[in-house]
Amino acid sequence: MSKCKWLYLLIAVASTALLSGCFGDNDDITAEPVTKVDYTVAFQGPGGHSQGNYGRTNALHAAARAVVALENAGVDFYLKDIHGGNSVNAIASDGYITVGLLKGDEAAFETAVKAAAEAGMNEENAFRNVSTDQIDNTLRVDIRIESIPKQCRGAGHDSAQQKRQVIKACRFLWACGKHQRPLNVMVFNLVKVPAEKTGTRRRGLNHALPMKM
Amino acid sequence: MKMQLKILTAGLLCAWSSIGLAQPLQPDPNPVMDAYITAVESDPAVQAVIRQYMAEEEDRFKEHMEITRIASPSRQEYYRAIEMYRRLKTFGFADDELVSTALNNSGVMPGAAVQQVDGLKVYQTCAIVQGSWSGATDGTGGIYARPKVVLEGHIDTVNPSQIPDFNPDAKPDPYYYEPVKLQPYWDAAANKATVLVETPAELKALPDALSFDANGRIIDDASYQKAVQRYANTALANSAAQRIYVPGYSDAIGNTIGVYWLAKMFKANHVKPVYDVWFCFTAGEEGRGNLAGMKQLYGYNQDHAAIDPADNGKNKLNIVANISIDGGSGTFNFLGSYRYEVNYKGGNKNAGAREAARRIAKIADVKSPREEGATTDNTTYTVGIAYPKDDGSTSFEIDMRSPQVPSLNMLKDKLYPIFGVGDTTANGVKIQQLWYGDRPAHVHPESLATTDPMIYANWKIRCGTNCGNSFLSTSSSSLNDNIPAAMNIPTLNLNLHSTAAGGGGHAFNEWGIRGSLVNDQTNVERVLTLLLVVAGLNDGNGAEIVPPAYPALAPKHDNTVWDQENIWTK
Repeated sequence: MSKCKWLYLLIAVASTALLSGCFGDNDDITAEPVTKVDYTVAFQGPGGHSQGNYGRTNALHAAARAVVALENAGVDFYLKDIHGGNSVNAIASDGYITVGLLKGDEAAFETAVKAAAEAGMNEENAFRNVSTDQIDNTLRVDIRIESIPKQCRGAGHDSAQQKRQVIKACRFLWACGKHQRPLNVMVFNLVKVPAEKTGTRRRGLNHALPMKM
Repeated sequence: MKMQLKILTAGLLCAWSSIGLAQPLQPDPNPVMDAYITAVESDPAVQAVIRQYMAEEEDRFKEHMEITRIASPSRQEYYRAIEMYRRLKTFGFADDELVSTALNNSGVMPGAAVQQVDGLKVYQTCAIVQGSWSGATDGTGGIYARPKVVLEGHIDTVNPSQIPDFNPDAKPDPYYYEPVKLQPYWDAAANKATVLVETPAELKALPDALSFDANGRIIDDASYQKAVQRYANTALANSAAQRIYVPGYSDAIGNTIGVYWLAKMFKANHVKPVYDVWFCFTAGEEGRGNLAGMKQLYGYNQDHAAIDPADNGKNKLNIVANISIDGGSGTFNFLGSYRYEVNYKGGNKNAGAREAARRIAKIADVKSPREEGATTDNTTYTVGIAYPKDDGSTSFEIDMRSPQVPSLNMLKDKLYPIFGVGDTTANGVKIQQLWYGDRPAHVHPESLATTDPMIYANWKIRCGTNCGNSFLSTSSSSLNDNIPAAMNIPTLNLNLHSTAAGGGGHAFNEWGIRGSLVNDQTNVERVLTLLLVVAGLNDGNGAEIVPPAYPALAPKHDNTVWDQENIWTK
């Protein structure tokens, strides 16, 4: 477990089995290429009301920054999914990206994903002027680091909505901490998952404060 | 007795001035209005309503629970709307005194200038108490054209976010229910409050719950007896108080049930206002609800407003004033918000998702106009949610807010171009705006806030004989009131709900503990008095207390205004 001030990063030991896939016709948007390995990166932030808590870090913003960082690193990857947040009018408390390696070295890919995730997190923290003083290390341990259970990937469900419902239910078991997360601190974990057709998730944690819409 | 006030009207239609407030605001003295308030407060019919409202507090709680557990996501409020229609009939409202767009799944509000919002049916119900006003001055008569005051509470709840396979035509019954779980508030062994449930699994595992019969009525058992108890918020420690968990407990059915009960009280006590009063149970206040219920009622056309804010709608229902019950204390400034869903569809998932990610990352680097020093208004934004769709594309939804339109537009001008809507060079990705939500901003000018009759009445009702240090709050909220306010129809947001404690708003674990009866009574006295100050009252002596103001402010359906010199002519 890293003890650095700004980052909390763990890589879960998970299955690395490569599952079969196929390239579909270019016009078939549902077809996905074979990837050598997939990583899901989960960002978690304080969340909050879009107006009342404006200025807090946004986990979804950080996730998007990480995608751009990975692009800028020149990695040949396939973005299977970006999702997060719970409501249009909330600061997203969670953000997820699932990236697959199309070709190249797996170890180097893992390093690149970690670096991009760190960059996304750091950029978001810096943009919102989060200082190291605001980080409470004692609260970091509440993040559960696990691989995504197979039943939580939405496998066997046809529609994105069905998958989201399955994974939403699992999300609470998988990623919810027991304690309130530190204000204005972006924490993420990196989960290695089999390169199968990873399910998609839509709804995340409820936004943190009971405020009017 | 006939009281008439010539209170400011024309000025309200003028352009707004700056929101900046150097000094605390206090209304100008208005002894005529004071006398009017006293007349309403002391009226026997008004007092009878309050007595019965309080005497039936336990029945009100039962129906609060029965209605709250009906799942009612924004834009899928059909089941709550139809159930409230059915229950209102049992209160004695005749067919022609009820309007429900859920009836036959029509979605139609007769007489309204707007029907569907965002291409979806609007589900809401109103109960009508007819006043003594002889008819609309434009001669159309008719129940829909008569001048009316709306008292409303919303019936949509954030959780659950949707009903599976929602289709009222195919499945008008049964309803979808949420459990109503109980949890002791106090842990005597630990000498502190118990830990809130944090996951749906923990909520499901709570052993205690309220029970309901086959007709949806609550069962008076041991759990019920624990839940029904009221507590002062200072008396929870070492108490037997129970947290009642059900989405919508406070937001908003705790308030909406008060509106519903006032409708019952008007009927039961034969209260006769001067203008008609519509007790409405409205749709779409939350999230992507896009204020659909209010847009239908008031005829607010967001597509027109996007082009010309002055051409925002046709108030064909001739609503002369609005009172929303959603937790306010007289809120009269309303925060503006533009919301969008933007969709990115490429040749494969990767292309759309990456383009969406790039755009979100660019948005994340935007400083709001206030952060840049371009305005003092609190301009904020967030990409609140992103998700893949069944067609392999990726969408995100963004919310931008400001108290005033000019600064809100400044923010939009910074952010909207980043979406890339219509950009044909975006790596072969088709970018579309799939949804636009408009909650129009409204700032009451200081000069009008101090002289506005409705604001004055609310302020005076609240401070009574001790108003010296009572000032107007100019805080701004985003509420159903945004719509009537944007159309220059007077509106205030008030509260009827009382809790000893509560939390989890907008979440699966929303909870509350019943509050004190004293607070309940104070709340209903305030709301009822204000309602009848605005709507007028035929008093206990058979005389008409004419409403002091407002018909002149409401645009008629031809978008002209009432002739102020004739509004008192009957």
